[in-house]
Amino acid sequence: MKETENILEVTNVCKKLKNFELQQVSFSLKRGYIMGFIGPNGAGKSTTIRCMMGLSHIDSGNIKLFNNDFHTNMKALKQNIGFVYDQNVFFEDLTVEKNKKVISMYYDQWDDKAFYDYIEKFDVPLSTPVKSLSKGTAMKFALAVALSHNAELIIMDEPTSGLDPIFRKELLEVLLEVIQDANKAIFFSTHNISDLEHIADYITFIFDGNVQFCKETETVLDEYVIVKGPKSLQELVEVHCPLSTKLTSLGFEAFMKKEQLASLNTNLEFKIERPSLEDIMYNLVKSKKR
Amino acid sequence: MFNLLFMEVYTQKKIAFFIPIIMLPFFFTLDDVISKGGILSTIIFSFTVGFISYFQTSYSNSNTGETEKLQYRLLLSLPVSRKMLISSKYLMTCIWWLITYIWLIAVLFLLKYVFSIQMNQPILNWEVTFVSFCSAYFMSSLFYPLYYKFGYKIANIIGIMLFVIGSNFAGKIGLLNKDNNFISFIFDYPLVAFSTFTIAFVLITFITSLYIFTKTDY
Repeated sequence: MKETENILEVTNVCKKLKNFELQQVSFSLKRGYIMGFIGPNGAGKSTTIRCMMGLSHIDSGNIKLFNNDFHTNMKALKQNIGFVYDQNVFFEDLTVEKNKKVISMYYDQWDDKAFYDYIEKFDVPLSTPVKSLSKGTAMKFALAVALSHNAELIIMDEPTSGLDPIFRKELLEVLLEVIQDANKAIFFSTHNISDLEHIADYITFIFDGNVQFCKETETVLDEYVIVKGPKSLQELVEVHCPLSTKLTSLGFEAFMKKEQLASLNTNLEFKIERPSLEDIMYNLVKSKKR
Repeated sequence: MFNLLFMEVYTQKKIAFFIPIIMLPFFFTLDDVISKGGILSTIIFSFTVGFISYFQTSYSNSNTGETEKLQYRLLLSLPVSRKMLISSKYLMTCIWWLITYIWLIAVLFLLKYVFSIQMNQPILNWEVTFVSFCSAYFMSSLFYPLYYKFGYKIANIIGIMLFVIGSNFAGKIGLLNKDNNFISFIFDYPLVAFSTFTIAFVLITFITSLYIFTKTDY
């Protein structure tokens, strides 16, 4: 039952930094699924990813990769992890081709054909030094590397930042192709939350170092509603303590849990809408800051 | 381990491989000392090789600030352990020494047979080989713990300062009291004393570098 096992399990991870703290961060990801890791800037997304990759040491808690304790044999476990970071981490003075030559040596299952296919598909120039690549092209190169050694877990930190909308779509298609293999899983942090709605099976939302939820995307989308109506009806909604309310030129918009609708008279002039993931994150952050 | 060593050589700036050629004009200016041979020329050859090897070690780590952190973010994300990384850095000193030592042989060969400078000692001299190897390791070992603790710039400044202070101190060795057992041992067996001190120093700095690197977040 390899497919149903957790490929990644983060349990009660704490990490204290100078002005920030990850507090009891927990979530898990099963094989065959894509998890979106969302949160505002400074929420702890990159710190969590660095802890998962063993770049930062955790103060307490546990991280399991492929059902193994992550620090027992990190070297072997990393054979199966593809990574993409939000900054260019490659050898800047070397060309794309030479970077590939250095990096490919470390992987037992490096697939040159897959690499060159991706390079061609993403239109990355092989003979250009990495420092001369645009941010988007450098990101494409990082993706090609991550996808070329048959990694079972792909960990990506803001892979769509710096990419144009066309390539962003293309990337999402590539990820959907990758996930056709039920043994693989993708963990994906991003600011472009709209990207996730189409591909992520699970969403983990982190804010101020705390995981707010880790749920199926559909469950998250079903859990909240946006109630719109004229200003005259605002008080009726306010009684039910919505998570956030804002006034517009036409009336008001209240963001609330779907279950709160049961006690609201929805026969009146209310308009009930299903929020997007972006709406959910925006309103949850706003409500937490209140 | 081979991958890490290959990477170090492959990512080294090309100019670094030709830096040892500065030995040629340097030795030209010292042709009197070189002609006489003896302990002084052995010391000059050995410490020149040691210093150039140190330079190559430091140059191969010459990323600074954020770039330095990003480079380690890449390396530590690859299937490589922190211990292996530090071990490879220490092993690389051997390769930088070998490259510089080959250049020394070539330069001495040119001086003797092309520029006809008289030399009383053979080009292949085991004392030069041994002392230059120890001095290369000694200087590079000084660099690494400082580098992992404070970064490239500060490590280089402190390294050069300590090298100057050490050279100054070495010049005053003759003034030391030879009645003392320890001092007399150094004078009686200089190569044994130097190699023992180098081995101890390399071991201590290796453990220190490993400790610092293992504790650092990237």
